Amino acid sequence: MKFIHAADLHLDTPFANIKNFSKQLQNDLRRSTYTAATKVFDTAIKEKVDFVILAGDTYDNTDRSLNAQDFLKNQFLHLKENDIKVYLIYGNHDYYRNDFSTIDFPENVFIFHDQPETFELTTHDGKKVGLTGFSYYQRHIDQQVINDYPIRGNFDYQIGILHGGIGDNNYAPFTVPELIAKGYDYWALGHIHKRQILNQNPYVIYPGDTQGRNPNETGQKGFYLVTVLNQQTTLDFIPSSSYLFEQKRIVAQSSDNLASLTTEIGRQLEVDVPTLFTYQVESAQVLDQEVVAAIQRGDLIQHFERQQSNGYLYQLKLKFSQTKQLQEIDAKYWQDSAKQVFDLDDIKDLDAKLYSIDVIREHLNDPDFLDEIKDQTINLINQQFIGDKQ
Amino acid sequence: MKLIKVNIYGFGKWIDQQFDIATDYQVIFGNNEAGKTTFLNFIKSILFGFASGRGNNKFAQYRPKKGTSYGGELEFIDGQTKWLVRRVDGKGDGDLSLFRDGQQVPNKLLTQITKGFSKADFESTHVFNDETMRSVYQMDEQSLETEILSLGALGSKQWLSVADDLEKASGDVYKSRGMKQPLILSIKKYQKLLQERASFENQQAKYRKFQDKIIQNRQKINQLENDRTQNQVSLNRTKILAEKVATYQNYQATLRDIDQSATKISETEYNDFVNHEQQIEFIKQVNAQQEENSISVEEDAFMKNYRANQADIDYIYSRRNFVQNTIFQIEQLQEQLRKSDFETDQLQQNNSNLTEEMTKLSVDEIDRLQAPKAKLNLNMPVAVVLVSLIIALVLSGPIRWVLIAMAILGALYGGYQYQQYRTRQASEVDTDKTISSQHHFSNVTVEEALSLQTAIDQLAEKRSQQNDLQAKLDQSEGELQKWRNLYQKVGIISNYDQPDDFVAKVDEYFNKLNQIKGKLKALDQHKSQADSQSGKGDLAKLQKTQKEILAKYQMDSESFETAYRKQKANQERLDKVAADKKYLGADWDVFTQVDDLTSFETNFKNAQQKASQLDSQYNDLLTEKGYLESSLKQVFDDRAYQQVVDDLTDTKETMVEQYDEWLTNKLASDWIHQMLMSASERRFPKMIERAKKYFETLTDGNYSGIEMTSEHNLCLVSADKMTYDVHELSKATTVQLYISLRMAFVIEISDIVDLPILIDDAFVDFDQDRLQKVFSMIEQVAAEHQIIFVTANLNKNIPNDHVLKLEGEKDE
Repeated sequence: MKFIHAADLHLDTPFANIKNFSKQLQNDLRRSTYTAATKVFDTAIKEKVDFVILAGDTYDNTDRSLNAQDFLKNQFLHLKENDIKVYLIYGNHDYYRNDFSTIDFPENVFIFHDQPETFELTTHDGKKVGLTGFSYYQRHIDQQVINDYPIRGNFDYQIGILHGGIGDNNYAPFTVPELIAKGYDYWALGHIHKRQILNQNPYVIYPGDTQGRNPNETGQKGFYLVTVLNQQTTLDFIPSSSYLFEQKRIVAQSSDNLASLTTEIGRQLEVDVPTLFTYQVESAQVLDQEVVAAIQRGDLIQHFERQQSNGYLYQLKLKFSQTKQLQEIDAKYWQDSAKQVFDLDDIKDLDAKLYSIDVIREHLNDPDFLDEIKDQTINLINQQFIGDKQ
Repeated sequence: MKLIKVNIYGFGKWIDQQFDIATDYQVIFGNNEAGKTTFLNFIKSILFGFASGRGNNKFAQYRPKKGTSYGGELEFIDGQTKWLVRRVDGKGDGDLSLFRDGQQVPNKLLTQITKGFSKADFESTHVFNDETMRSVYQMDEQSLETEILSLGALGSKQWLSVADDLEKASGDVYKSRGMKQPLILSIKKYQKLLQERASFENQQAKYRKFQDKIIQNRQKINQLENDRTQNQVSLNRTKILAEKVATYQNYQATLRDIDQSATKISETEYNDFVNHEQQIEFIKQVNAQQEENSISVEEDAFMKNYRANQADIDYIYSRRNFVQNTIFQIEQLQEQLRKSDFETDQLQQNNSNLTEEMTKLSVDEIDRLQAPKAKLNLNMPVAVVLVSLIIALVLSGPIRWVLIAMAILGALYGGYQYQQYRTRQASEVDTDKTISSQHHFSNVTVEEALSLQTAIDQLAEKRSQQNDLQAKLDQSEGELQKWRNLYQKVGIISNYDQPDDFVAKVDEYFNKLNQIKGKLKALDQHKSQADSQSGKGDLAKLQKTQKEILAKYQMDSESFETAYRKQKANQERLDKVAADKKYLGADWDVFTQVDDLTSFETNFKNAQQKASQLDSQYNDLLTEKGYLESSLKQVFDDRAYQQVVDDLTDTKETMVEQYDEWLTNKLASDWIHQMLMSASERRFPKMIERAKKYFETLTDGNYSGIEMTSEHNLCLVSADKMTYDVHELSKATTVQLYISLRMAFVIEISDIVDLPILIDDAFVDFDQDRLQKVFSMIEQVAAEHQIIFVTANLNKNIPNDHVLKLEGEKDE
């Protein structure tokens, strides 16, 4: 028995800050979620799998997903011709609403409803497989739906499909022991975009998304090809990203200038796999102020927009280290006061108008927000102290 | 950590100078431009590095003008340990060497002296100069109070300035009531894009709408296709009926015309009747013809003559073309002869001298007539005689005689020549005459004779031709005369007939002959026919049978014929009716059941009309189908929407970036304030103890206390126990408070960083009285911390061992 466990295809994901790239690259990036999805389905056919699991967030946006639906229908038809079934749950991004699913999928596609249910199939090697899962019918689910999953049924192999986060109260919270307690053979999870094997025997797996979608989703993305032979489950990770996001750091030297930085970054951009790099130039305080100003003006980014290589300079950040002993000496006062300054509630209250805007609200509610803003603030203070302020 | 020695190799105006520094306080006195500031800068440069050569800093480099070495040494003592810091010219901020108790140690150990302070850090805490004072004076009360309240933190002054910058930068990105700040604009753009996105019709709903319409359209098309098929059946049916209706109408009309009551005439009897009529008619005809074909006497005589001369006449008939040819030939010959005579006349007219007798000259004769005539040449003999005689007249002697003899001989020769000529001329004339007379040219000259040669030939030829033609003509005329005689003999022509009529006469004769022969033959036939017919008896019999038939039907022959014709027409109608009925077939019943036959045409037209209506509806539906299908395709076209989504994605990203920028600036500013307050809050209690002593000294006892309120504000206690807030103090007093707190602060942090306080003529604006108080304070501070004070105003109370007087050399 063979199957594919993929999740978070996020078809139609838009990419930010790519307008200065070549039209070709822009289009390729926009198509990249589709390219990755095609890789999933092509692999299914090539490997003659019994079925494909799509563990939620197949669409990035269900408001306008006709092309994605049409694409999937065609892919699913192709799978049907190859006698491959599809088990699909909706996640928080593509939670099911009336009016959303307009194009009918062929009958080899099984879509789970809002309550945990189990589909059965017999694989080509005669194994009776049960697949248990549920779909999101709303954006957030705070109930522990895992409690409604049945304990292992009378199957040769049972798979739990779940879109959610460990202890994440917005997204069907669960714990790994709760999953293991169900007695299933494999847990096909979705939602978290970072690939993670939470448990072996039974496997509890986040395959991650199939294509990195922003600078934070670094590295090769893909899905798992799972083979079960003699009750032994083996995993093969199949990469599917057509573009990678990577983060790089270089440490500035006081002797560095625009030319030397260009040379160094240019050298590092010569890579085999198309990659969008986010660069952090550390110790930027040692650079000449004119160099800093030029970088902040975007000179380096613009330079590389015109270069032909597989590596693209997507973002460039300057990281300023502390230069004043003053800060160190008063470190404890900085730290004491930080608690007061970096108070999320206070920040939310700073400006009611800004907080009323969903984008900013969501940004503020990002779990990493406070840490990041603190880093940025420190960076800013460090930067402000460059030079001969009297 | 105390500075004990300063050794300058070369720095600004200072070349190779050594100074010992007092460990409590050192006053360095010098006039303006004596090098006081340079001295302090030397200390800072050795500790923290030479200023870079860039920009405005070039001044602060203090490179010595002369080629001496740059830099120098500072010696510190820290308890028992001695530190030597040496910095000389080198890359960057200079070449540093560090010695601890005479041993060189790694440069990084410099931090044990500087505690990692930068020059700026050091300047912000330990250095007081007139600029420090000026800036304090220039601050408004609010700022000064803030500054003072922040004095518990390191570099509070700069921090506050940075915080101001950050606050301002934050305002540049966003202000809650702003209109043009970038984040405000981004938010507007975002909201506009959201509206734009909302304006897109729901794609799924649109898809479903078109999908539903397509299904409806398909159903309508199917329905209409059925309707069309049905209508086509009906159309075909009504068309057939409409076509047949005319036949039915004919059928009915024909049926009406059939005379059912007419007498029935037997076909056999009618045929007999007609047959008999024909026989009767024939017999009557034959009888009439017999009377026409009788032979006249003349015709009889003609036939007798023909039979008597039949051989000749038939021969004439068979040869009549030959006779015709002969006549034609004669005409032709006569014509040719006439033509030839005419040409001969022409020839004779053209050559008037030509006569019939002239004959042609032979070639020899022509040669002879044309031969050159004899000529006389006496030029030579005459010349000889004349020349000889002329010379003989001139000369004399024997030569004269010789010459005379020569003249005589010449005259003789001339005489002979003349004789010869005369003889030849006579013979030539005779010959010519003979030839002319032979050929009858006597009446013409030789030249004329020669020119007539061709004409003679032509004339001769004509004459021979004419003779020839005449001979042929005579023969043909003889021939024709023989035929004429024969024609006359058998009586075909008379004496008076011209040859041209001969053949016509023959034909005329034979026409007549054949006519008579025809009559004779007809007579023979009639004779035999009349023999075969039953003759007059038969006729009567036939007529009787006819009468019987007519009597039977009680009709005369004419009405019998009419009745039969009517009967025949009736029959035709019956046949037609039968055929029509067969053609109408089962539909005949349909027609019989309907009164208004025009309804069939109406039905057909209606069906046609309906068909065209259905066609047009069908086309409309097909058009709609095409439109719907392309609309459905267009629903998939997401480009405009995608553009908005892409813009939204970018705008969101920008908003977040701008928000972060706004927030980090704001938070950084807050943080600095918070940190300063926090530090001050902690340090002030200890600092205040020292500060209030300095403040008391500086204010000459006017203020005896500094206290921290429960709201973390400072309040000052005057000698008369009145309390004041900072902003209630006079400006000068506030500055004194500031100095007190700063001094206290440096001592407070000396456990962290222990470097000398440098005062660079900070109190230049103070009067002597106040300056005295400053010195008092310095002495107080120096009990705990080393101070190096450069000034141009020396107070006499200061012990000499603490004063270093600089030479009055001009600083540059």
